[in-house]
Amino acid sequence: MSRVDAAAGKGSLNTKDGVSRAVVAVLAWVLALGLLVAPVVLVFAEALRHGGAAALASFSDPDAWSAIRLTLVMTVLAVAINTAFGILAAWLVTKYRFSGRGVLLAMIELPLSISPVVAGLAWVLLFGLQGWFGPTLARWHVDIVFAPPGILLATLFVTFPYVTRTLTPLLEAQGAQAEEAASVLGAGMWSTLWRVTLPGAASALASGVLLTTARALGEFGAVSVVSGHIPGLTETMPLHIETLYNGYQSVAAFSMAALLALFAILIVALRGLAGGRRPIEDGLA
Amino acid sequence: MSVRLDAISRRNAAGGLILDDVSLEIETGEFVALVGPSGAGKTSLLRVIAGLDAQSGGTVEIDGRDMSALPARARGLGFVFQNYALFGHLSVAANIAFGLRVLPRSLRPSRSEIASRVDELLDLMQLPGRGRDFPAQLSGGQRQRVALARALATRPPVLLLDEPFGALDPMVRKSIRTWLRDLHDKLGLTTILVTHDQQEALEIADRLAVMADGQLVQAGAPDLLEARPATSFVMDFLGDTVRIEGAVRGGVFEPEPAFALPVAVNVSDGPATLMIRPHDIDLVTGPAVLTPLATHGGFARYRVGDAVTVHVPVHVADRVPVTGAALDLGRGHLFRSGKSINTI
Amino acid sequence: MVSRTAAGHLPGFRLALASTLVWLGLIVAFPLAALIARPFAGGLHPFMHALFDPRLLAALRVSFGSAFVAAAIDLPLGLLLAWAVVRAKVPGHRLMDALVELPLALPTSVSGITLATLYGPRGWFGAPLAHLGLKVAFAPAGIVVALMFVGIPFVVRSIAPVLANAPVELEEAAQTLGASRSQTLWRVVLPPLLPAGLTAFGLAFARAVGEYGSVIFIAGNQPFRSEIAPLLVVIRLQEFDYAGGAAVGLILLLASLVILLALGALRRRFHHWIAA
Repeated sequence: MSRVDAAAGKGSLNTKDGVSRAVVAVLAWVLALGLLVAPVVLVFAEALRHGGAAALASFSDPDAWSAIRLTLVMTVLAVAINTAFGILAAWLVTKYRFSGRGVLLAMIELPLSISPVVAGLAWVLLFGLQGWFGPTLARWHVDIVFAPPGILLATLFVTFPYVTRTLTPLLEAQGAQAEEAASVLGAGMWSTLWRVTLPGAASALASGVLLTTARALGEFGAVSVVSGHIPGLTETMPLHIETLYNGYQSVAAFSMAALLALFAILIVALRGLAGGRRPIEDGLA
Repeated sequence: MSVRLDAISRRNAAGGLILDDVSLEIETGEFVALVGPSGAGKTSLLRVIAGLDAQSGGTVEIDGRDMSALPARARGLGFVFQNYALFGHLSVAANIAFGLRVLPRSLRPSRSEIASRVDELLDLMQLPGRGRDFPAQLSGGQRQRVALARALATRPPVLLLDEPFGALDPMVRKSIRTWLRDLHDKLGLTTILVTHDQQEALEIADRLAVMADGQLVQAGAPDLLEARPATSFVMDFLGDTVRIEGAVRGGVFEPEPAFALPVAVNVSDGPATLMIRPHDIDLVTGPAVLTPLATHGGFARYRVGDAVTVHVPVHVADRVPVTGAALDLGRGHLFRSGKSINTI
Repeated sequence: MVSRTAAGHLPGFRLALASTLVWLGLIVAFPLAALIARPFAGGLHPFMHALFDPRLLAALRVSFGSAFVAAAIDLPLGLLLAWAVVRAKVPGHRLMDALVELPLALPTSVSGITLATLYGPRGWFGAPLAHLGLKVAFAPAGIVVALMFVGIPFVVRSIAPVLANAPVELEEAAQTLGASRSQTLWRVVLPPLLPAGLTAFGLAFARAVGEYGSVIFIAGNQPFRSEIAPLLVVIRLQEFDYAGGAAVGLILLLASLVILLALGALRRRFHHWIAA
């Protein structure tokens, strides 16, 4: 490199500037390692503190198994329901123009900005013992709150917007011409949605489903309020972690946490593969 | 202030040569257009002059001073970007005042001086009272003038313009062009303009520097380039051409097509290409079929044979031999392997 | 409320609208209606009583205060990470970009017990800090640390795209006009990030105000000192004080709505900056 190259440099800040780029790199990696990576590493370190056998042994507890089973069932149900309805909602707000559309969009996004505890609380106020429908339900011996249905409802609420939210920008950008062409050719709504709209939005849909899955697997606040914490019956994995941790069963707690962290890492990696990470559209709130 | 470029070369990140030994002198007060097809290196050369990109060899002198080692911020040249690069978060007035406000305290004019300079420039740019607007609220032509005002605020001696009319619609383009030339004369600037539009360059500039493949092919006033194009590329680039292949034998250029007349020349024997503007061709009586085409812009157009189009001024069109024609190429230019070998 | 005015000729509008309204109504509107109505079930008086409970006021102060501090600290840190990922493209920037997503994907109770251990008196970070006389876990500072962790992705995700799309010509223009590197940074590069920065702050703040799982393990949860408002909701419910819980919940709900509206208003304020 010649004398002039070094002196004149590029017109823009940083990028090619060796010194300031190195400073940024060091500071950013220190921050990323300390703030983001250290906690994840610690999960595994704590789980394996007494060796892999001890970590695995903690899963032989029947309560742990029932927590895993409950979490997976709730996640599958919540993801299926919210994906199906989320696709229809995204289709509705992007392919049609109608009055009240803005309000609808805002309502769909609302759960993102509501505290999960408040979400759980709202269900308790409906179906809890002192809730609106509590006495009626009690008479009919139907359990919602402090039972799996309540957990499902709480999970549905907190994972409500993700599919619609990740699909909307993409479907909006697609426009409606392809769908209109399909309908002119005689395609009905379902075949248009299935054959025309969704194939072009596959990666956004995948991203939305992954976000829904991540949140459903890990939801704590909302589920905590409605579950009643009955080990073996209404404890999901995140709740079981709390029980174990508060019971000073650190290795068991961190083993369960490590399992969830593995899911989280897998989801982050899959989302990276699905690509199309958009601005803040996909923030988990 | 004069600008002297001496043997400038530049390689891109991949090592490709994008400027190859370019030398050019620009006089104080001159308006020079860098022209050439896209990828010719015009913008690269302008960025090297501005100090935005570094050359890998050669020197940039401005008013006798070697600027090669100075960064852009220390060169004090005015630069107008293709997309104007206005600061969207600043008002028009703040955009224009930017260059004054970043001056070191000892050199910075007072607030009121800056304000009056901004007003003066807004008037000059025919944008009075638009100082409080934001760039997003202006039309393309207005943004262009704000960019120009911003570049001129610090009274730079040299103004560099990178395709400044590229984003404007054709009508605005034409009027802003003459206005820019007037401004250049009024302010006594030295201006270097990059454009890919040869018509624009011919209209506005004192001198054209024609570039191709990173090299300066020829620099000169429009009529010089027209009268003595150094290469077939220059001839092609500056306007419509008819190209006739042939060979020189014993001081005569013998064209391949039968309907073109031989031309007496003063060059050695060998293959040669004759290039000529369609309106420089004279039609004489001969064997070729003549097909009349549409009349446009004061010229009657004819096709001779099956490839050559000839433009004949309307007022002499009645002298065209209707029975059959041949081409008199006496006003053409002769090239061998792309280089000019003679003006006929 | 909803009527079609200028829809295209696609089939399925009624079906899509009906299914969306049913879904939205059942899962979102219905429970929120209960939340809004319930605090006033016994008239205004019990609600006001719950509202001016000093313990609630203290919890709100802790929640909003630590959320504000955490979001404010996240802003420069997030800017640094965003810059490193999209501008400086430091070695490993792709990995760094993915790591930013971790706090979003990690279940909050996992973050909670992890941060409590990490910053606890015998933790990797907690032990050296304790040596310096700084107590993070089981103190108000712990709340801020947890909220910083959950909030930082919002800051990076809001700022990075704006930073990535900022035209390099703006910086070059500043250079040709004589601006120094720091003048270019402060006058040309950073100001256009202001709207995105405000959005980032708002999102991180909103998330932090309602955060529960990652905080309760590290906070210490001492009433009047390190007890957050969402925890108070849980405590009231455990005491079967539905009205009290609902009052706190409604305030948190209103707070998030106010933040949402404020964000929208701020974004509109900067509309004249866009697309120069």
